[in-house]
Amino acid sequence: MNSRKKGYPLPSIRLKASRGQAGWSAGLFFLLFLALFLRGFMELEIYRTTALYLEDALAASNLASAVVDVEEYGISHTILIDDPDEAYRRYKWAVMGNLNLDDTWKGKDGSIVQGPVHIVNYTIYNVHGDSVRIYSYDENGSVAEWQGTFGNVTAPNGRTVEATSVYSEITFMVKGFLGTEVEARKGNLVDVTR
Amino acid sequence: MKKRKGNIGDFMSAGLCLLALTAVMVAYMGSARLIQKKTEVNQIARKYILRMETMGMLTDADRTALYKELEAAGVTQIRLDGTTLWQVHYGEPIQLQIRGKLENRYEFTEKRVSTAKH
Repeated sequence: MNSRKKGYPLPSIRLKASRGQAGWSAGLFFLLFLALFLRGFMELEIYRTTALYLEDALAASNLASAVVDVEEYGISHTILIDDPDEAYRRYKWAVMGNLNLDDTWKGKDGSIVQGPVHIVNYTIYNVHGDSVRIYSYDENGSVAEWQGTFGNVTAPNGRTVEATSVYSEITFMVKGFLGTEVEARKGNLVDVTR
Repeated sequence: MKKRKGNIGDFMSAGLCLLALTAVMVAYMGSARLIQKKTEVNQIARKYILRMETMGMLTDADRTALYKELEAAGVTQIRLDGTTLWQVHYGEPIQLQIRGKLENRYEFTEKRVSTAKH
């Protein structure tokens, strides 16, 4: 039945109720939007901080592993990493310590780094004159050894090796937005002579 | 003058939303400040592990300075258990472990390891 045709005014209570509801809806929508926006912004901030922290920890672990052959330095003033196997062992210990991982290589409670962390590459570049001796450890810890010419050797991140250096790369799972997990990869080349 | 009906309802909805917005903003600011403080602690730990590399230990003078810097960053109940406080030889492991509380509430452990290069 059409009330307008019959001359009845439209009920005003309906209009007032919807205006109040619109106010609440708009307020709640804005609140939800702001909360999600800030949460997203916070996640980004955590990622940025974590990326810096990881880069720092990786560089520190590379340096920790690089113990220079003092005898060789005394004789030829050349900086060389003396025992690659021992350096790799030290590197694993340093990564575990600097990333605060447990015995199963997983991040402890509250850590953004979800385990396990995998070392996918650990490479030592020993520069001696015009030659570069390379020792590369893969994910399984198997070592490959070869020689390159100074100036022609590049690390997996594309940087040219200019002095005795260590490159390492790790992968790990990171807690994402709304509980999702994504795989992250981080690599770093450190010149041990600087 | 007659008051318009429904005004108090509109005001209440706006007021409550504003209150909730303020709460969300305050929570965000608090979290952001905590992240910033933790980053500050990271940088302090980084600085002192580098010093420890060159000294082979955390010296008494460095320990005092570390306490001061941590306190300035807002850390309380500072403990250095597990830190290398004795001289080690070249190439041997060193460790800096800082435990404490941020804002007297949030416990944290900051661990750095390296090898002595002195």
